[in-house]
Amino acid sequence: MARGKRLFRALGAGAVGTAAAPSRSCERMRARRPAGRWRSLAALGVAWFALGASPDTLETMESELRRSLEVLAEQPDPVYFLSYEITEDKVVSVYGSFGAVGGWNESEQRGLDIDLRVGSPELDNTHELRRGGALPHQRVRMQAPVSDEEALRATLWRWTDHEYKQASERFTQVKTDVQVTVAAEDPTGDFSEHGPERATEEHVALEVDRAAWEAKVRKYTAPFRASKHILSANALVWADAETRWYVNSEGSAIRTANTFYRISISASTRADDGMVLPRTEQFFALSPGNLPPDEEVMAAVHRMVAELDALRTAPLVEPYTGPAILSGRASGVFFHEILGHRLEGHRQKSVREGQTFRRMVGQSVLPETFSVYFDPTAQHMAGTDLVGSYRFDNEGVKARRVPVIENGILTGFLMGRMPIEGFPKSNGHGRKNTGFRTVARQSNMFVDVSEGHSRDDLKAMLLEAVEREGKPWGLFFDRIQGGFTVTGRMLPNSFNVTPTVVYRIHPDGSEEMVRGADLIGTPLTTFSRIVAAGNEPAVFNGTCGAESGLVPVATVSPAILVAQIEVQKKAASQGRLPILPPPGVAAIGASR
Amino acid sequence: MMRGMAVAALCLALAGSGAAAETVPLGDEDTVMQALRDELARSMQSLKIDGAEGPYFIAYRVFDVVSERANASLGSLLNRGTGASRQLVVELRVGNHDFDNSNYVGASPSRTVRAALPLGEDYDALRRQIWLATDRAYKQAVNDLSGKTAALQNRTRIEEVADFSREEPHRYDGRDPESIDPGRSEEMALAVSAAFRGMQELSLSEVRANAQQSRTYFVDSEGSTFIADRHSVQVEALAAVQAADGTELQDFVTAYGRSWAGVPEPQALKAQAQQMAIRLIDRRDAPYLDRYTGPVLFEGQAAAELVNQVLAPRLVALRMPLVENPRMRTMMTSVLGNPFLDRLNARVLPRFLAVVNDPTAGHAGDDDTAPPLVGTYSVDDDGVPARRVSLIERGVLKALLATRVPVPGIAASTGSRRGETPSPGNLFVEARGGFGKDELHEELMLLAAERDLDHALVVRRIGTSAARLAMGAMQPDSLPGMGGQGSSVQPLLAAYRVFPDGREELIRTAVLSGVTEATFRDIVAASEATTRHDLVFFPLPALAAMPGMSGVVGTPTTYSMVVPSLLFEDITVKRPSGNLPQRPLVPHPLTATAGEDAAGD
Repeated sequence: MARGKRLFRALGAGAVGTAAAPSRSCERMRARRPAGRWRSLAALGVAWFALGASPDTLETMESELRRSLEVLAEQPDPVYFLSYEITEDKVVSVYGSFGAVGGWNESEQRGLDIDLRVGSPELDNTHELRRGGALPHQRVRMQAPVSDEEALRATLWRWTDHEYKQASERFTQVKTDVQVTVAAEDPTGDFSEHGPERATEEHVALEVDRAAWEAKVRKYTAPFRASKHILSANALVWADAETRWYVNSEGSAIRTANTFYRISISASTRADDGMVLPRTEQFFALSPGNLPPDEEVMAAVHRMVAELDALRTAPLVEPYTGPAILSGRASGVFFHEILGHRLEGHRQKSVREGQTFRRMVGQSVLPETFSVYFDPTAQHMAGTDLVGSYRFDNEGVKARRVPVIENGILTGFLMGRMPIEGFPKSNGHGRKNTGFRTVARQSNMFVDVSEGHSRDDLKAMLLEAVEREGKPWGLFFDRIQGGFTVTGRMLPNSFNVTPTVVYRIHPDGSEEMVRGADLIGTPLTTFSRIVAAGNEPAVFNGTCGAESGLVPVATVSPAILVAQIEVQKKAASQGRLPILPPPGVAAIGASR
Repeated sequence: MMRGMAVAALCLALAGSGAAAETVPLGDEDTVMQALRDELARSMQSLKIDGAEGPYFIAYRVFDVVSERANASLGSLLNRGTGASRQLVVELRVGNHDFDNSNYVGASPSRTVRAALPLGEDYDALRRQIWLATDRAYKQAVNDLSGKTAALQNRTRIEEVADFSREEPHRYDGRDPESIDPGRSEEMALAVSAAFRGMQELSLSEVRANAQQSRTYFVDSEGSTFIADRHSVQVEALAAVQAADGTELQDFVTAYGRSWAGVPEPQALKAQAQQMAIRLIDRRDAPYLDRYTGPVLFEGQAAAELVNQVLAPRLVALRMPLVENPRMRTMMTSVLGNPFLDRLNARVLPRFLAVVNDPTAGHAGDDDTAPPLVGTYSVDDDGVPARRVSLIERGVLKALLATRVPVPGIAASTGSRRGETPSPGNLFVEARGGFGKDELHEELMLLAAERDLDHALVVRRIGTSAARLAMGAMQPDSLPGMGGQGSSVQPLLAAYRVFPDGREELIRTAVLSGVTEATFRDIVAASEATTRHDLVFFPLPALAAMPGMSGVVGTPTTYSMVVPSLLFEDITVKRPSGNLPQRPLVPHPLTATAGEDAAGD
């Protein structure tokens, strides 16, 4: 079990993410047309998912929290804030490759996160040490049972003690650090207060028919068998029922319940020169009925097979600067990486961050036809579920729509409960994965353009630019797999997004697939070169990795035309194609 | 066509262990075996890059596993999981038995080539994954062989030790119709963890139960092949208390078996866990022992763990590879160095002791009603038949447990590959002329009296690496004190001062100091009676707790040991060093609800 699980982690919720402070990497997937029905999910729901946890979980957590605070708030370094969050995940997955099922997993776990703060909101144990660094983001793995009061109380008690000892020790370091270093550039405190929130949602059970899922995995990966050049072809069908219990010392008590469903298909081939060429398609939904019907998935699979075949023999791109169109799919990743991450509030404060936008509030950062907002309360867009939606963030703050760029002017940041100069309060974007410390993260990003152009118009504008600048061609980035951006100060403040499907657009309008191009640049220069946008927003659902772990995010964005982009050669493996041809499976297998 | 050739080639090589089926390859009806054989035959025949040799040896191992696990605390579930997978591991060698691509760690060390195979009977899909994995393994092997050849170009090898031993082909069918009951892990974890309910003295407790139903398929290019079902179940119950001065004490109950029938019933284990917790609570208030040097008697589990942690790792032959990176070379030399490699035919134990490894033994002694030994197997992971090996005779080291990877002085396998490295199967420590219980205690007191000590020491329980690892994850800030000073023995969990009048006094916590394999020569007596214990073997115990070392330390394996009580003449036992954590400021929740004074205990 463990082995198969590890294999598919790379595609699954626990995807490899870069949690190192200065760079973040995001896996991204493509947009989806309006949802269809998944009919085969009928009455065969797995029974054990129906078991709910004790209804008294929130009450037990609150009473244990109060009991601890009675003692800990009276210490010389008092605890002034305490929260408990238990996240229960019940996960089912089935995976396979080349038309066969490779394995399955069913699991449930309950992670515990404690935010315990010693000192005061002005200065507490979470304060960034200027000699020594920030608090480690990844924490000790804590688990909590929820079905029994005694077990839950005992667990909360002992981990609270652990956290208190850690926090008081660090608070001593913080006080010394503040005394021996220069005054902070941003004088705001470490934590903002927030009123109590109370809400309870009913548990949601997963609807899983494993046999039907196995059939899907076989069906989705079978077409790859026909191609002898395809070296990997995997599918994963995955579902997670997540229940969160959150209580804090401000009187909040929240229980939320969600489900996430995902189909992920990835395949790769290798060009004769050794370059590995991957393609991934993912479909997300918040309920099983919103997953796409098989016909839609199969259409994507057949497109992947055709594209991989074409990519293998596509010409290599040389380093190039010039005009380019990013499809809606591609621009979503682009905005997420180079704009979104720089709007995360805590990055305006850390002395290690580049703070690109800190002093730019009120100034123009995008063309005036562009507005950008984040809205975790939006659940759907044009029939597609948005996975960056939630009702409360991980700090007990209610989700809300947050405008960040209005008519090209920067107006705000994404805020968790750590204040920054000019933005003293959270706007419900304190997010994290279980086991990490919360920071400000993106949710559902909407790029709104008041003056959109049709695809043909954009292409005509691109060709005009090509002619004007005397370029041999322009580029069209159709699909981007993911990317990363560096927001710190120690390295150039740049981004690199990794397209998988790119076309050269020749002056005569013909399109030619190319391979081996990475899209690179620096943020402010690149923003200033965005000249126009399309009129059809596309949805991207994905998983974003940064300091606080992997969180689901979405972007809704139209295609954009950029006057000048830069591409560099992709790092290529020197490996060669398999030595022997594929086993003569057609002939031998036929007899079986 | 190709498949037909594979069958013919294998039939020529098959050893005669099977009965009527000698002209039919093992598992002929099995699709996995067919796919493995066919791709193996094709690869041996045709896999070759221009300018390089083709493989001279390929072995495929497929691990078909259905597993489940459950962790619970105080009768409430923390997590659980279940799943199925089928993994292929490719071992491919280029060169020849004397000199090949293996035993080499290049600048970018090669990883074992693994691939997820499809479940079920889809022959084409199986072949495709086997083909791709074999291709990767071959390219890696060719690369390693060229790196290794280059590294040796300007050096003269002092010791010419072959890279891979030659063994007789062997076939074995170990399919077992029994399967592991699903759902028992959760039932077990919930039931046993409920043992600790209501015990406010415990600072933490957790029970982990898991089960693996595993079928291994093996086929190699020399004609060895087997299919073996190797199921296993494990239960670990862990608990900790904190004494008034802050000292953290831990203990555990474990049960290992090859099926749920092989371990005690949940209620019986729950009772054991309760007794363990009571002992733990007793130790909280027991006196310390600052330092003691003198005779120590190790009884039962303590004797078994002492052998497991100190002597057993010296009884396996681990090969020191050729390492390119100098820093890594230094590290690996210190870690893999085994003084017993230089002591073959030298005395390592007193003359009255012998050690035998016998994976073919099914039960301890003649008692067929006892639960079967857990280290029993018929064929090892190289496809080499298991055998009884006399390791130490009359105190003299005669052999080490080996795989097909030779070490200086040991050219052939003893059929001891379990996972990646050699491991004991069932280890029997045998004493000639052993003492009766009273006699042994008399001897202990006599030795103490000789040194003018008013008491001696008896040790009945020692911590384990497995429990330490599990506990470490639950208690990240407090690592129990290690023995230090060259000793890697875990802390003593049940040690007693014994007085001449027979009175015993429990000691709160203590560690052994400076115990090494050389200490075992100073055993002065052993009991006639033996006890049986199931243990986890770490080939390199000092490294087992280090992250990222799994490839080097080998796979932990469970095995059984039958061992007498062992009396050592001269051992130093002391209080663990280090600072003590503070007690929690907030009283335990049960204390609070009972309205008692938390500081009163």
